[in-house]
Amino acid sequence: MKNLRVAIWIAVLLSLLSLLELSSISHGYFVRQAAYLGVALAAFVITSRIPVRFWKFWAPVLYIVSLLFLVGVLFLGGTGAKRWLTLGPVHLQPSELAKFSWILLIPRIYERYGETPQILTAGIVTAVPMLLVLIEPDLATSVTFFVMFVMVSAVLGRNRVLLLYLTLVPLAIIFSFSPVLFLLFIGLSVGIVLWMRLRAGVALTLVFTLITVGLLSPVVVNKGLKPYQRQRIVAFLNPEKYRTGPGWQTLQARIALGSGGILGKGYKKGTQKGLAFLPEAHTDFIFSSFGEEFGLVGTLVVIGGFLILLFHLFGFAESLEFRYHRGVAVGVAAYFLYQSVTNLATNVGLFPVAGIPLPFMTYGGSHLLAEYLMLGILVAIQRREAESHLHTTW
Amino acid sequence: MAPRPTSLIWRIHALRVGATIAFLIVIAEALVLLWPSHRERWVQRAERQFFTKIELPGERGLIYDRNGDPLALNVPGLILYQTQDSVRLPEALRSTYGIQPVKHVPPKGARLLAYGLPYTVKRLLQSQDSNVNDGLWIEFAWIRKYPCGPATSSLLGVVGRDGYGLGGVEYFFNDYLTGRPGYRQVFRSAGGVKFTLPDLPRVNPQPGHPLYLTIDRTIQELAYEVLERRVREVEAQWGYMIVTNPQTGEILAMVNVPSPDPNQPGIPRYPTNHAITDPYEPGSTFKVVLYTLAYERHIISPQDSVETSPGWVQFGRYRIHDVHNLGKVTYREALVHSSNVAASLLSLQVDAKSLFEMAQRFGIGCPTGISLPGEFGGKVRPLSKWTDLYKANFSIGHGVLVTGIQMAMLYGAIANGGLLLQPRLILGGTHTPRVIRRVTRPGVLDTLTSILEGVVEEGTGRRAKIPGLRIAGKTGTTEKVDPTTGRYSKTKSITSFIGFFPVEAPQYLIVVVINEPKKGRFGGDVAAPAFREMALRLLHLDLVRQPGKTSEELRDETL
Repeated sequence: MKNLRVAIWIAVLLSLLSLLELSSISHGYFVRQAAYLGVALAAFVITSRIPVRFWKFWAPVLYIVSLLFLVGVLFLGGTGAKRWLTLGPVHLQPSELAKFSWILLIPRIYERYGETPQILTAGIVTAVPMLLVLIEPDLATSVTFFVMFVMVSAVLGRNRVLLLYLTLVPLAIIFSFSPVLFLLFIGLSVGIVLWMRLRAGVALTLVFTLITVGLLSPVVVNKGLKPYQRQRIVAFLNPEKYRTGPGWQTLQARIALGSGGILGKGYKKGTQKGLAFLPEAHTDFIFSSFGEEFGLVGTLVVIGGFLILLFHLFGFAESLEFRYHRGVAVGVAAYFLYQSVTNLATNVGLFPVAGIPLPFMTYGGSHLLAEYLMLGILVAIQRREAESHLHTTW
Repeated sequence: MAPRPTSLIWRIHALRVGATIAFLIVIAEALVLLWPSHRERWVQRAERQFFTKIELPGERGLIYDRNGDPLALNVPGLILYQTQDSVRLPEALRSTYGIQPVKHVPPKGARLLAYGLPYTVKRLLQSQDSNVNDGLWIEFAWIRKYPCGPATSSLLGVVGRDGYGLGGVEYFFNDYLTGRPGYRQVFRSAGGVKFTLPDLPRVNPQPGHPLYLTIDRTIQELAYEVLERRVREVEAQWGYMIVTNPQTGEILAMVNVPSPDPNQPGIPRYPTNHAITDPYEPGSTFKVVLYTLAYERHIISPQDSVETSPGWVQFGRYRIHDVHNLGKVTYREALVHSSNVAASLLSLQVDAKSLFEMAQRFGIGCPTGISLPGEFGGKVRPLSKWTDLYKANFSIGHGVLVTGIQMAMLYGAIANGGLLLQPRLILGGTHTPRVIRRVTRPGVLDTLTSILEGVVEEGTGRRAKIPGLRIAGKTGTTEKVDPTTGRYSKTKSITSFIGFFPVEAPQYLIVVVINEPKKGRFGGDVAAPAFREMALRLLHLDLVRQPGKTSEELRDETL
């Protein structure tokens, strides 16, 4: 099982690159993140020794606990965006725990029940943490659940029509912001429907739903989103115009990357973060901050690292035999895919500022811990699969 | 359980393809962003926002008098701002400078508490415990100071907090006085904090040019002192005094009373220079124009007589009065006692055009071109609208608007033998006076001067008389037009006295104009004593300044 080993080494490499950049930003960040990394690696080792069935068994309980945390954070999280739970000296982000437990729980659901009930159950299991996170409010994290749900369901789900709805409706919302893209998307959808030879009524309903959702989504944007969310979207669409407002961050990230050049300005020589033009240089924009100092080469190393990581995670998922194992692996891969693409796209200016951490690299313990826990479980899965080859009677 | 559910493998493949596409898009954008040929543009953008220039103001040029004594200079001072709602102000600041903290400061803003505090206040702020500076912000600034205070403020003007001259010489020569600003390049953080490194470029500011005026600081201060007391004594609204050298046209002093103190911290009050900007009806001082014309044309000789009874002369519905009925007098006596009737009758013997042109030759109706802002050129009725009444009025200085500086130059021409000069305020360059034109033959003016000497000896200007000194001068009194009735007021007048001495070779010419005195009505009562006082001071000054004598010798001589 070479796939996983490479993935883990890449994860460690990315963590070390993160430490390098954090040490350039601030010694304090470096020390704390190094400590977080130590804890996360220890958790990784411990998790990898625990049998998968333990996680599978306790997944519902873990899920309930994470929901309790999510409710708790709404009451105890202080003012403004309630995303953090303070337990003594430790600040926890309950949404990370929720993602972790969700990944363990969902494949269990897809193992049981019939075709339609399973996807509906999974939908409810996803919707509860989604809504709780949305209230915080943290739209981007909320969307994370949805994206993971779509991806895992796409792999595990048996109801093809429901799957189509699950994947195409959100895409319709995304593409509806550009009329040209939306028309292309509708054309593509029609092609898919024809290719799958669905019944006429089902096919027409689907296409009609897509068009309706697409046309309604601007209304949703205007009525349903918080002002700061709307601002971010508008600013994203026109960063130069909103130079001092929400577009500022995106513009500064682009300036940081663009002024890096091939080899970058050098360790500790980034001016954008040094002069505080690049906000959140250690969190949301650590990639830009890294790219400013290490240039195109460093940038490609990081992006390439994530791409290779994902390839190996998907390859690992493919190689698995047990449905639950595969579901967890796909869930983990979906998590990394969404988090890394969203964050990288934000950094290069392709996506509105969402506040999604870059896996392994963004400063912070909660997501790092959750990510290494996921990798640890994958190792446990790998051992379990290897055992099943030895003992064919299970 | 079925091993390897291969039917689902394509779905994972699809996800992988999707992931790859997403990553390729990100990589493509990263490549475009980081492409080497694009780098320069982004670097420039970065530098544009983190490099900034701090302007270093050039020190304003100093203003000196003719002897090199400073009239305006710069001292290091402080500007004090309040940045929080609650501050602890040192008690000394409250008691000594009367600074009170404001109740509300806008967030992220500051309120100006005091401008131009002495630099030593800085020590006061720092000697207290460290909290005292919370909510206070001090800034260094060059503060313009004027050693002569109010004596020069109407002439020099003041400098605003933005470093621009407001009024007077400071305004007129602003570009010349203003230094060329330098700059210092500094880093600026996103939060606006500026900091510097030793090898960043810096261009030092160039100080402005110094300016030397023809003003004599001592005379200026004496004039202010004399006039200030006189204006107070007669309870006048305002007054001004001009001292010039009639041979060169140089202005030795020009003061206004009252004048604001330009050195007081706080908002500088805008001073008015009435001698330049406020026209008035000159009254009897203007009669010299008519008499010059009459003597030049040999229309009369001083010994010719004129009948002024019954003390007024009728022009249609209007009468022109004398103060007293003088009876039959010579023209010399008529001018000495300032007879309006005699002048009116004389005006009938000259044609309007000649009179108008004579006034023009004396510079009436045209700005003198003095280097001060806001000069008023005066006003004369167009020749086509002249009537006999207007001609008579004009000859006694009514219905014509002049400024003090115009009158100074007019009498300067009488004093120096007929040359109308341009008034000079700036020292340096050539010392030859700038002659505008020759007004008339010198001999004509000798006659006139001797009559003007008589004015001081025995006429209306007796109160200007100084035994042993030959002074030529003329009084002037004009009833002011009451704006409510549109007629000449019986109580409000503008009084003046213009004279020069010594008659043998005039060195000083003094114009005194006092507006709306409550005590005394005539130029001879109100303005002439101020002239006399000033002339005495000038004599003393010349005595003190005799070359080659030490102060001990002078003291012995005086005692």
